[in-house]
Amino acid sequence: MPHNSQQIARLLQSLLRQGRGRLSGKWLLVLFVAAVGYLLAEPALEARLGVDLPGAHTPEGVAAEQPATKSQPTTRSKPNATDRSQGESPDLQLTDVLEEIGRDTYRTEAGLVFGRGSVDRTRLAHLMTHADDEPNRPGQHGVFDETDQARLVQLVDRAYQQALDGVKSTKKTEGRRDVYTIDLGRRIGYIGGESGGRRNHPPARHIRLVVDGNRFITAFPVTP
Amino acid sequence: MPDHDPQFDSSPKFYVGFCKLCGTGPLGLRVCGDCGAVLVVCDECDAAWAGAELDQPPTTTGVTTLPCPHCHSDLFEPPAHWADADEVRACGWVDDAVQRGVLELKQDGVEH
Repeated sequence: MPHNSQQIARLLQSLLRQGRGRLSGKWLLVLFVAAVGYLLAEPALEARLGVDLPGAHTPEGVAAEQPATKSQPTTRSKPNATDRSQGESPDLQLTDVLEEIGRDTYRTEAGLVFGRGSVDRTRLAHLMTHADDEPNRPGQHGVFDETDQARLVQLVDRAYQQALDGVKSTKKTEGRRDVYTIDLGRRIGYIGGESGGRRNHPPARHIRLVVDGNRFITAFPVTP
Repeated sequence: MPDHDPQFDSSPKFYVGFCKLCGTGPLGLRVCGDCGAVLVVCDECDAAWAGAELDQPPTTTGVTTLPCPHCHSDLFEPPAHWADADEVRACGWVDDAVQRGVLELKQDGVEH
């Protein structure tokens, strides 16, 4: 038995196609009316019976099983990045913060470009390595508190804009590389890795952002 | 050249310090998959040095690719890989730099 309205619609279409030529128009109409009637009566039946019936309606208080979904945009501008989020953000999707401008290449509102590159294959995947600690990594490993990919991209984008505006940020340039250290004025993560672990994971409110022109290289929490 | 499975190749096995460009990245020893050259590569910001002069600007930096300074092969892509113990020992310039005290070779915090 299908569990969502799309599957029910497809089932109805399939029945109608199969019934054509075998059932009279009268019986097809009866089937159609019965299906519509079920969908309309579903909320009342669920309330009366106290169960979640298959269909388009999910009653309050009944835990409906939701498939584990990744935080992926639903339009054709779908980044193919490793998602390490703990669950789908109900408010923000990657398409809200990234515009597809080429193959595996996306641009943020402030103009920061995430493309391919690094041993992690894409810059988005490389960013997400800072959504988890690596306790055995030599030295410091900055870890963001934010683990949702869309929100993390938004955080980095806002930090980039702040750096471009010259607000509470420093800049160091080496060749094509600009290295910004931006004070976001609030905790955004902590210091992990071997060094951070030894120091009991001190909190971080700065973000270090490395770019090549407007192309994102890496970003991570840091204590300057 | 040994066959290195890239899924186990995500972090340097040996490193010679931390990157002055980004401030935190371990400087790993990476082997070019084409010419076999060993380079110092920052595991965080993908800056690369062809020798032991890490106080100098990087020889090259990577964005979508990280070209080997010797043969221009992409150091991001397999069969490029982080150097293992045998490859580190066999690399003349690394050994020379360690002997002269210019580089300090470490493996997971163990000093060599």
